[in-house]
Amino acid sequence: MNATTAPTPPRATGGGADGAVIRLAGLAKRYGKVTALADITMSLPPGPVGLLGPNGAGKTTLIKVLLGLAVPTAGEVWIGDMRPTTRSERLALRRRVGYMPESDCLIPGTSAIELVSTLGKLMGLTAADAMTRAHEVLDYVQLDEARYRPIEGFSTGMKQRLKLAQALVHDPPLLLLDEPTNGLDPKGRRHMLALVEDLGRVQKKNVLLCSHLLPDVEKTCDHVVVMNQGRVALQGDVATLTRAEATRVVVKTVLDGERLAERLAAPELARAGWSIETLGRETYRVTLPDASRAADMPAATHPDIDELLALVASLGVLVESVEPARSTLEEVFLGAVDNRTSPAPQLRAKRGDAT
Amino acid sequence: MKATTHAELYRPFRGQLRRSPSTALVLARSGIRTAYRSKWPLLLFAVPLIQTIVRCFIVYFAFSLKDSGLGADLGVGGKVASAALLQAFSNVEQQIVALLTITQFFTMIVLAWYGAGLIADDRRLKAHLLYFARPVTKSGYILGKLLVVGFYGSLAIVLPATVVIVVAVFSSPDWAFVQERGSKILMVELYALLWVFIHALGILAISSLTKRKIYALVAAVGFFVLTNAVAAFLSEALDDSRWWMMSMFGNFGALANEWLGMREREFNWPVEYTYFVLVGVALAFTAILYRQVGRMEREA
Repeated sequence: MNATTAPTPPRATGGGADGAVIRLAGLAKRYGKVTALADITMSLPPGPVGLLGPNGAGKTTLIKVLLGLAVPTAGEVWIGDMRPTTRSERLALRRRVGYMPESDCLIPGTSAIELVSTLGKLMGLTAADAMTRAHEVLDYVQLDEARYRPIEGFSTGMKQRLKLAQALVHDPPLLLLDEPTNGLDPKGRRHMLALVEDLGRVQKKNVLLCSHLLPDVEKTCDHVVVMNQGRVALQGDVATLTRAEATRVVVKTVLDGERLAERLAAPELARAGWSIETLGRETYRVTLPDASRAADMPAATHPDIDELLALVASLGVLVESVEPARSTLEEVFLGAVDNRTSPAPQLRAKRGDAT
Repeated sequence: MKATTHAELYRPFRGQLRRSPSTALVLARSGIRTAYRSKWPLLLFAVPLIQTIVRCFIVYFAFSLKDSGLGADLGVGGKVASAALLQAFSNVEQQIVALLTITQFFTMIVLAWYGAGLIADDRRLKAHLLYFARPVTKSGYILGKLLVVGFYGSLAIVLPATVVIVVAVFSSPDWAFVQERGSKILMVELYALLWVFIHALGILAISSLTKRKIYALVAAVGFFVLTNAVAAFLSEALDDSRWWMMSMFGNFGALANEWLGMREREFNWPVEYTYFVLVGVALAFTAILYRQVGRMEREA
């Protein structure tokens, strides 16, 4: 997408004391005996935030609570400076939120412009404003040429963009996007992600992106929340969660990398704490020994780096680069969801903060 | 093909949102406009239209006859014929009830056609996910849909009755119709509106129970026609007109007798029973609607 921008608007934080857009305190939601959300306490910072979690983790219930469609069983919800407790407050809350549902949803028999303008009027726009906004947002999502066509004939990509347009029609400070790239082909996905990125990073919208496609979240969000079994399993900045690790390095070799792999797999080195895994052709991830001693030390200054380089030299392996390894968001996610020991120590620390 | 120079620009909204938008009216306008897009169903209005024209002519003719002195220049035979015609035609309420009776089946078809898909299609295409993410309440949603069906139903039954009344008003000498039958005019309008309201509620309730317009259409027509057929059969077979209480048409017939002073067909039950039945049916339809729309809201 070649999105250009108007002068960058200030980000709307909603006036929370700590600048948080969404604050949840002891939030719980039960449906009979089923606990959908359990004692969630967290603050979501302004900007694009990814909401991750396996199926049944409670993401949809959380979105329903944020939209005022589900009443919490316990706890408090703050959207900016607003704490909706009554029905009228929950209705008023929806005017501050733009929601893009996951599943296909259309108003039967309408065109794109009618759908968006009607939904704009339901949000409180005047007829004239609703029509103007409908044209603007359809133009923004590149549906300008299809705006008068019946939406039943739209492709999946067009429907997704239409759903984004209707969420934007009243220009809300908070956008809840539920699986926006669902069912899109690579080109459509790239376009949608570019729109989401533009909204979150350039237009300064507060975006809560609910997805199970980790690369989408990694590309568009600055902050992630991982939910599992109705609880927040992990929360933090993407950059922090995926920062360079202290005890692992990625070694790229030009030739004879397998000799290094064979040597490091030798029993005496394995007993000393060395391990190696093949990531790709001539690319290896090496875990250095004595991690506890060196956990707070950047990998580049780790004492065993010298040993590794000496070993490489002695084997006559031609090395292209040795770089600190980074956890991918997928590893972070799996670590949080499976509650398994993460290679990055900071993750373990974060896990405790989340709930 | 989009020009490569095209650039999307996000424009922030600088205006103000209204505090409490009338969501029911927005939904109603949108629904009416969308339904009007399909022109063939307008043929369903042919029967009410023809009936309206015929009844207007009869009413106008009756008042003209009365005005011209009962065919004084036609001799004795002419006078007798004129008197008979006047007797038959000059009761405007009777003309309106005849209009309503003849057109009620077609009106029910009109209501079913325009109402059957209103909630069923929303459920099938999940439009409720979009509606209930906005400040739309269950009552606002139901009222919006009711206004759409009510609008088209009114075109088929309230408007024709009103047109006949207007013709009677302007045809009667010295506004005599208004002066003599003013309260009846109100009762006719109320009767027609109640007819539309109860049937529209029923059709919407049936629509909310399914996800396909065609199923809702068949079920709605089936409900009203079958209850009528069963009531007719039982009242004939058991020689007891009270079985007509099963039928909406029967209950509205009894209501016409009471409110408009018609006695074309006798219904042997106190009118309070009809009120009870109509209120009960309306409450049942409303309960179904609220339950189903509540489920849609929770699904959103």
